[in-house]
Order: sequence, then structure tokens, then C-alpha cells
Amino acid sequence: MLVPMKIVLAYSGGLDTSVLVSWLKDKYQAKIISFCADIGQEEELDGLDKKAKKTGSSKIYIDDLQEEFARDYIFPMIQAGAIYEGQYFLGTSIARPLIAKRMVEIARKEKAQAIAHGATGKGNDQIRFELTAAALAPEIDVIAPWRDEQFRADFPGRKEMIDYCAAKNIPVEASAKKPYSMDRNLLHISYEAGVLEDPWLDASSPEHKEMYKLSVSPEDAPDAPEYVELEFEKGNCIAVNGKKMTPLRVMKTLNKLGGKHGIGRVDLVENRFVGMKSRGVYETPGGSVLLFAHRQIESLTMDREVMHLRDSLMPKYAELVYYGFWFAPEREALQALITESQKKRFWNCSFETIQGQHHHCGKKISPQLV
Amino acid sequence: MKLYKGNIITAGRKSPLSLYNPEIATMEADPTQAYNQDDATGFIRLNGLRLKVGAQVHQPPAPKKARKKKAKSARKKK
Repeated sequence: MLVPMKIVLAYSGGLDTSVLVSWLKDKYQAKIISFCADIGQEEELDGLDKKAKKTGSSKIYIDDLQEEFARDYIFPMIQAGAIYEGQYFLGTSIARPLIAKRMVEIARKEKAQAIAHGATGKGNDQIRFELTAAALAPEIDVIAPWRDEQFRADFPGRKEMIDYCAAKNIPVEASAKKPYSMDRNLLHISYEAGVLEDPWLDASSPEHKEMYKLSVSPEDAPDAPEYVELEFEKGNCIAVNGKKMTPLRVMKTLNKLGGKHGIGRVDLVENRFVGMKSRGVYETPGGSVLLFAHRQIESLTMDREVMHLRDSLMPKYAELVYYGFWFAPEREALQALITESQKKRFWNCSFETIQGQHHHCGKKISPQLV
Repeated sequence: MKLYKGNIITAGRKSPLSLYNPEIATMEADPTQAYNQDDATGFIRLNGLRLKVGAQVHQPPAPKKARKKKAKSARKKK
């Protein structure tokens, strides 16, 4: 690899990425261009540019990618009915290609030689970022500090990172370490590691109530059911309760509705692409409602053989998304089949949601059915 | 499991035959040394190889700097 003059770094302003800016700058003698994507993680972005500059970034990009995320990533995946290993709704998996795509765009614009990310060498995210970079910008290098032995030796734990920041005058909030790690975006929030590494630990017990952010527990959900009507067109939800909405607005509305009724909580053990099993807890309130409603409408309007064929391919599709093969010819080929299967569909679907469960109570085809 | 009003909620799982090993999954130090993070670099490189080759072959060529041309109609009018 040529010694880079410019590196684009995925930056959040947290402890890890703050360390990365400085560490990358020192190691590679490079200009660091920080990039933060707003994909619905509901984090404070005000002051992030100042923070990034203070930490040593020469430039920062903060892009609102929420609508693109909902329209071009979440919705096509909903059309596929994608669920990984029968349980995981792919909330983190589907976000990484979008972030990496924007990073390589910035890298090309800024004539940067490399992009860098803070994903560890033990997870799936490193693969998702790097396969996207390979597919979209083969000429750009990727730097993964966590896979650098020196980096791991320098920072065996949080304490060393906090000390490093203090020594370098990097502003970070030295908040108490959470007993798990979280990743949040428009589609979901995930909880992993820490106390959750024990698969026998009951994450649904009242003791862990405070962990959850997007939903109440079914036990705490309203006793009375709530009706919601969704309107779909060509496999995409275009209106909720009679109000036409963009994909982003649909997600935000259904997240709120689903969360209120305790919908979308999952506690699972999954198989990572890198080979080990991992325990994770997830909240996917709006996505769960969408997937369920989408299936209801397909049951009314989709040809049997098309449905069975698409369903037989769904686990493969989900695997591709999970592994990080979004910008890959095989995923795009499957997507073409899925889009074809969704072509003839105008419909309404009506729901009753109650305490963690959703029950449909009626489906109808709108008069404009083609 | 916890059964509640139409919900089936996981409360935990365990087995003497469990293939889940928290020491391998954990981000803390792994006493088994079973997982070497450096291996991921090669794994990713090989998985991405066909994507890189595909991108190099199918990528649109970098746009050449276009010479400023007057529109045909504008030239004709003159």
C-alpha cells in the first residue's frame, strides 16, 4: 500500500473514533477526513464538526442519509422478506453498505488513498465495510486499526483510550462503561457483549428493563389494541392510516407505533460470518410491523409459485446481506427477481396491534389494482 | 421462555452440547487464543477478490475532461 496522504474515517465522536483520528494521523502522517452519517441513530450531531477538528480532523462531512437508507436499503430488503436465521432482521447489516458507499464517494472526491473504520477484527461489520469498498472502489485501500497488532497493544482496554485522549487533549466524555455495547439506526437497535455474553442470562427480566430504548416490554404495553392501516404499492409501504408518507416517515411512524405496543424484541444467538456464535438482543419495532404487513398482502395478491420461489431464496438473500455482499452481483440478481415479484401490487392491509403481537384483521385490494 | 399474552419471549438457553463459546466471541482477552484477528484480513481480501475484479472490469471509465462545445443548434444559427 502506498503511504496515504489522506484517509477518510468513519467517525461518531465517541471514545473509539476520537482515538482513531489521532492514532491514524500519527501513524500514517496523513490528513484525516472524518465522516459521520445520520442514519437515524438519534445522536447529537451539533458540535460534532468542532469536536472532529479539535481531535485532529482536517475536514468533516456530516450527511443525513436517512431517506436514502429507508428508500434504497430497508425497503428493498422488506420486499425480500429478509430475516437471517429465522430471527435477525438485519438492522446493522443493511446500514454498513450505505456508510461505506458514501465513504468511498468522499474518498474519490477528496482524492484520498484510503478509508478507515473502527470495526473489530472479530465481527461482521469489518467485512461489510470492506466488501462494499472492494465492489465500489477497488483502487482505494482500507485501514482497520483494530486488526493492527500495535493498535491492540496500545489500547488493551477503555482505560488506555481515555488516558490517550487526556494526554492528547482530545475532548471525550468519560462516561461509565455500559454493561453491553449498542448500535442504533432507523431500523433497529442492537445490544451485544458484556453481560449479554452469557446466553442463559434473561435479558427480558425486570432487572434489564433500562437497556431497551425503542420499545416497552409486552408486559408494559397498553392493554387496549390499536388499529393501523398500511397501504402498499409495488411492495413498498406508501401510507399509514390514510396518510401518504415517504419511506423515512413510514419507518419513524411505525417505529413509534410498534415500540408503544412492545413489538419487535428479539433475543438470539446467531452465527457470525467469521465463524463464532454470538448472542444479541435487538429491537426492530417498525421493521417487524412492515414485514408482517407485507406478508399479509402478498398472501392475497401473489402467485403461489412466485411466492414459493422467492421464499426459497430468501435465506440466501438474508445471508448475503448479513455477510456484507450487498453491492455484489448475486445480491443484485436476486433483487431483480424480488422486484419482478412485487410489480403487480396495489393494496391495503389493516392491522390490530396488541401487546407485542400483531394480528391482521382484514386485507383488501384497492380499486386501482392493475 | 416466558409466555405472555400471545408472546413467546426468550428467557435464556443452555446446553452441554453448546457450540457457543463466549471466550471466542468476547472482545475481552481470549484465553483460548482460538481467534486471531489478523486472519480476518486475509478472509476479507479473498472474499472481496471477485468483487474487486468485477469492479475493475465493469466500472465506467473515469470521465475525460470534456472540451467546451457549443450546442449544434447554436452553431447553426450563427
